Amino acid sequence: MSGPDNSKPSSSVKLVLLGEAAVGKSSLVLRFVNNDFQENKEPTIGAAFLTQKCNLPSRTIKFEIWDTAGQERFASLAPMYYRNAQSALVVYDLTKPTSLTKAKHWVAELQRQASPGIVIALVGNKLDLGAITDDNGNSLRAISTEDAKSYAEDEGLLFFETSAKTGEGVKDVFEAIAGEIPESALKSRGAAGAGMGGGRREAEGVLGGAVDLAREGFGAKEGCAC
Amino acid sequence: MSPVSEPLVTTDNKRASFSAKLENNIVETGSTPAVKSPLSQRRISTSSLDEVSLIDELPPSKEGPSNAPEPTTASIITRFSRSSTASSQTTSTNSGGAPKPSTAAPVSRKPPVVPTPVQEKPAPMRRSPFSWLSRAATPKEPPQPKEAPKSRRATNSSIVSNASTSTTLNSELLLARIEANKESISKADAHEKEELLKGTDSLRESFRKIREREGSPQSPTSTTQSETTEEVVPAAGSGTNTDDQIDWDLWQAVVEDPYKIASTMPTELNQAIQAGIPQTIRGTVWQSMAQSKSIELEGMYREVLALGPQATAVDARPLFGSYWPPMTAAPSSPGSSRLGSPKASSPKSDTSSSRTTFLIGEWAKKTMAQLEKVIKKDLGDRTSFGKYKVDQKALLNVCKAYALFDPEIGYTQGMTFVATPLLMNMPEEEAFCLFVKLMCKYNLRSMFQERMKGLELRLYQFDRLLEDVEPRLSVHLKRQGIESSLYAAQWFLTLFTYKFPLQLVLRVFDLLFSEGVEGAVLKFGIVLMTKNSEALLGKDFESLGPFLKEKLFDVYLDGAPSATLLKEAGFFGNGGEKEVYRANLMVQDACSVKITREMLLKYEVEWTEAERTKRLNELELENLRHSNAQLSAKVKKLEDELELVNKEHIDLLNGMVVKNMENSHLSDENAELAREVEELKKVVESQPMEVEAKFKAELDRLMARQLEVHQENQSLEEQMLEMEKELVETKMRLAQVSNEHDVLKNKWSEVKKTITAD
Repeated sequence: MSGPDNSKPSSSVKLVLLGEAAVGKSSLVLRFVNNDFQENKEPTIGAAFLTQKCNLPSRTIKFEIWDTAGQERFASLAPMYYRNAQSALVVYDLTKPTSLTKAKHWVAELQRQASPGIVIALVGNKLDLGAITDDNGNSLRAISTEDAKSYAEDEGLLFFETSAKTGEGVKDVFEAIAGEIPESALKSRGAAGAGMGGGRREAEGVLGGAVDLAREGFGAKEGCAC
Repeated sequence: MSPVSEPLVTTDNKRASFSAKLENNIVETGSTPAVKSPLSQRRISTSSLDEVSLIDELPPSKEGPSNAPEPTTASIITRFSRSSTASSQTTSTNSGGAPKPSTAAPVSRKPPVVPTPVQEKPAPMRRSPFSWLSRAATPKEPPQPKEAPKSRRATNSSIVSNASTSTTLNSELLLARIEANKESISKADAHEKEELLKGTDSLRESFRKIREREGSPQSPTSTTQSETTEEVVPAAGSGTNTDDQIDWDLWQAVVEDPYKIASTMPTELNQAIQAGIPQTIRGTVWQSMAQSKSIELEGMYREVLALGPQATAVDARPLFGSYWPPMTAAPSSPGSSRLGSPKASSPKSDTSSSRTTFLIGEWAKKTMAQLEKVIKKDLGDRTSFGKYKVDQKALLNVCKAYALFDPEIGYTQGMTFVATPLLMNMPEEEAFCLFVKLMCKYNLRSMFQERMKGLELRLYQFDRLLEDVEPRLSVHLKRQGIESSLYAAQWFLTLFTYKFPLQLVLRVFDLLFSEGVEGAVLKFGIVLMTKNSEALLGKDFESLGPFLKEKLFDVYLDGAPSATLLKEAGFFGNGGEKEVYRANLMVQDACSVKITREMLLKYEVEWTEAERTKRLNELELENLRHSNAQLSAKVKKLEDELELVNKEHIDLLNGMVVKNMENSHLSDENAELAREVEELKKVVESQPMEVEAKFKAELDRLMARQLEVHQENQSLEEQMLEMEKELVETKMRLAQVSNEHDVLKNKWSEVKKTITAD
């Protein structure tokens, strides 16, 4: 996985996906990470997590992707998942108006409670369905690009329309986010322990004494791995 | 505290208080076993003797935990060879561990398998008899910290005795659950009891039928039985019993009276469960252990499903009658009622008050048709074990009926996963009853409730246990930014059905129906982490993700499955799980993870406390925010006022400057005027003389003029006099002339007359 181009700085960015159930969050991730698509993906329970690199001209961003469950009941778990996230994909289904409403709630919650400076992208998924018309000649698309876009502009969000099924626009979303992450927010993972984010450091603190015991071995391991 | 962690924790000086507590307990045990020994069997005393001598010999060392696995692996190998080939070793172990010959099959593979638990021996001995005989509160911290070293040098016989004692220990959760169940039944009303009785009877009946069908103990591996398929879907018969004879007597006893068997022979029952419930009777035994079977509720289930597509929970409610699920009386109090299944509060007390509030919320309004639409989205390939061809209609029905039954919970993704293994082992009506039990009595419900507080608690307990058992791993994961919420949430919500092989899932279910959800899922969770700890320690975030998600069970993959196991795997039929797992080993490992009610309770209290603190902090934060806002407003107001005052001040200053300028201007003017006045005064002073002089001069001039005029006047008068004289003279001359004239005239007339007369 580690690219041959070691000259470019590499840093990891935590990205969380939020949005109503069945809008295609997991599918977007699957497309981005494995360039794959599954017609009947099992619903996400709790959360899933994956990583994928994104090469920019000047640097390499490694996304740590936290994919969350969309059903309403799981919403209370979300704060656990978006804590310390530097970026978020708020996904809606462009054939389903309620999903944009839900997306707006997520945006509001993120703006209120997530890390300040979090980069949020609003993503209308299922673009492939949007191109289809039903028997009466009406497009399945229920949310126009303009409406969503103007909302995104008002809120200062990146905006994209994608199709996880065809892959259209998926890569662009992640690249755009990678480009939007301010240099200052990036922490490169260097030697053992040095590159840990706030959350990780906090975890060490919590463990207190137990850490000492484990640290030696851990440090050595990290050192070797690098 | 789990056995493995204990020594490590003790060495950790920073947890002084903790180890102090342990020490106390050690002291306690030192004396108590002697007192209690008459109550317990003989092996207790031997084991405690072992213990004492070992403590002196081998003080706990850091290596304790890392050494612990050694015997495990060794035993794995021996056990494995045993399970595949009924060898002579079996008999030797048998002699030590199994008190009851009838249970030989399950027991025989049991004892050697549980070497790690060796360490727990003394504590359990003390506690478990105590807990089920008197239910008195036992000391909180089981004292087994010093035993780790012992396992290394324990003799064969001590291993055996230890093994069996550990099973006793591990039946603690089972007993606790059974006790609680009994309690709730004793509280139930006559109707409920009757229903329960009927259900039990029917289970007994079906068990008998199965037994008859299965025939004599000699009957070989139970293969897919077309007659039993309604009861038993030919799913993974992961029980090793398939290659042995099924211990029909034991299982029959379980079905007859699970309480009795659990309290009289907990060890045997536990061992049997650990060895796997035979596939053919699995569904029946599950139901027996859960006491779920209810003909009445099954009838209600059918009635509710027969409601029209527009029916909602409001319509279903009356049909369910007294079976209404427990309400969340006070959702904010995550207290003791949540402690696992055993304490699930009886619904009776609070239903009446909650009846009115019951039918509120999004799920209460959903019609049958809407529910169907929502649930159907998660069926088919989107469920677990889709390849096993579980009746999707039945799955839909169970989930739908539950959503109508319990609209507070409704349908939550994950339920289909949980219901699937049930449906593989029993008809849908029974699966529904068992699902209801699982949710309400086993308290799975708390994990699906709004805010999912039950899940948070479970995750917290898991985190703490992991810290105790695998401190290095716990730290490693935290450093990598992997929290249990990320990977373990789905284990607990779906009871491991989400991504894991069915063979193992069924065994998880075996244990959780006997011990309760809480203990069982935590045990499996912990054992998976322990078994994979080396692998996990070598991974970073990137590879941890997929590994935790799908590879954890691979440690139990059987690389070279024996012929019998393969045969068993063939039994999975259309399942398509090609791998064969050493399920027994996993269950035994899980059972050797020592999780006691005290530990769970302790962590629950901690969590509740943390939650409370968190809430208080939030509240305080909120208050501070509020007062901050208020103060900010006040500051703003004062600033405004200040600004106003400042402005006024400036205005005043400006005014003053203007006035000052005016003032100086005026004083200048004043000076000018004064000067003018001075001048004027001078003018005024000099004026009279001038005027007088002028006046005099004028007067003089006038006088002179007057004189002049007077003189002129005089001369004029003289002239006039002269003229008058002249006039008089003239007049006199006139008179003379006139006279002359007259004379002349007369003369003229006379002349004329003379002339005329002439």
